[in-house]
Amino acid sequence: MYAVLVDRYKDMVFSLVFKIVKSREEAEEVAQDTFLKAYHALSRFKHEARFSTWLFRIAYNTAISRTRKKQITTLAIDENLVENYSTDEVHENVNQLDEQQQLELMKNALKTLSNDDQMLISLFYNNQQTVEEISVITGLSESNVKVRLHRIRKKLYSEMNQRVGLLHA
Amino acid sequence: MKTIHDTEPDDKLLMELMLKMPVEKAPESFTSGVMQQVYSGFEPVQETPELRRQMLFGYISLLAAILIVGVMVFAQWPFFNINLFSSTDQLRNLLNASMGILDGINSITQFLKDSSTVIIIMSSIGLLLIFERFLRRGFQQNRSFLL
Repeated sequence: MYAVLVDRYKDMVFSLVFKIVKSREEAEEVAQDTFLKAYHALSRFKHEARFSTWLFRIAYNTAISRTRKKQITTLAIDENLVENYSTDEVHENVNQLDEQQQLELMKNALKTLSNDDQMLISLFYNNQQTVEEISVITGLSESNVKVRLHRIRKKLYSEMNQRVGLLHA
Repeated sequence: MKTIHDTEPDDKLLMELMLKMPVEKAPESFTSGVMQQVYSGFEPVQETPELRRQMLFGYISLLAAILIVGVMVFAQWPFFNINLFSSTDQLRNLLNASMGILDGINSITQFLKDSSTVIIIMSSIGLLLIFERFLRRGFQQNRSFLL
């Protein structure tokens, strides 16, 4: 029975911890630790959150303690990145590219983000966690998660806009 | 015109691109590796304050059950006006009757038919065990150490 859960969440957990530890071998160990910890703590899972959120929180804390890295720090609201270009324009330009070019563009834009920001954006889009759930997983306040996601999007759009401009030039 | 400041939290373009991005996948043997560790390295439940509290309630319930049964068997409560054992002879007879399996079962059945006291005692024990189980609900996969 538990094997079904492991099978279902293993890639999501692996991908999440990989973004923190940055090594496949270590990510595998951390992911295994995560599932063992979750197994022994199953009776304490109170259904107050989604199972995935509860599991990601264990994964995040295990990865953080393994790397002896500090948790994500609170972010002051900083609007230095304000750039008034249109998202419609970015959409239009990106949609003109073929799928391979789009992926390459996104991959390069993601590389400009910090590890923490890559993890946050991945939790939001790939793992389908809400702002509230990301707040539970990372220990950040909800407003900080919102601000951080907003800045990550701006950064990604800004990077894509620059790079797509170069492609069209 | 929509600007970057109006970007919706669930921005469609970013979501589409993010979902298309290849993600790091766990190795094929990952699940079997985890399950092997689960089966081979079962750890006992760690003693936490919550566990200690639940254990305390469990022991209190058990003690209360024993005390109540003892009181009901040995004490005389005339205000209840129920037919409790009034002498040790009755207890001895009950014990002797229980010793022979067939005769004992037959006698006990007859005794149960005739006596509401035993039924009350048994019901009390049953209720206490159920009460104890409710107290310990959620602990050790909902299994009581009494049941």
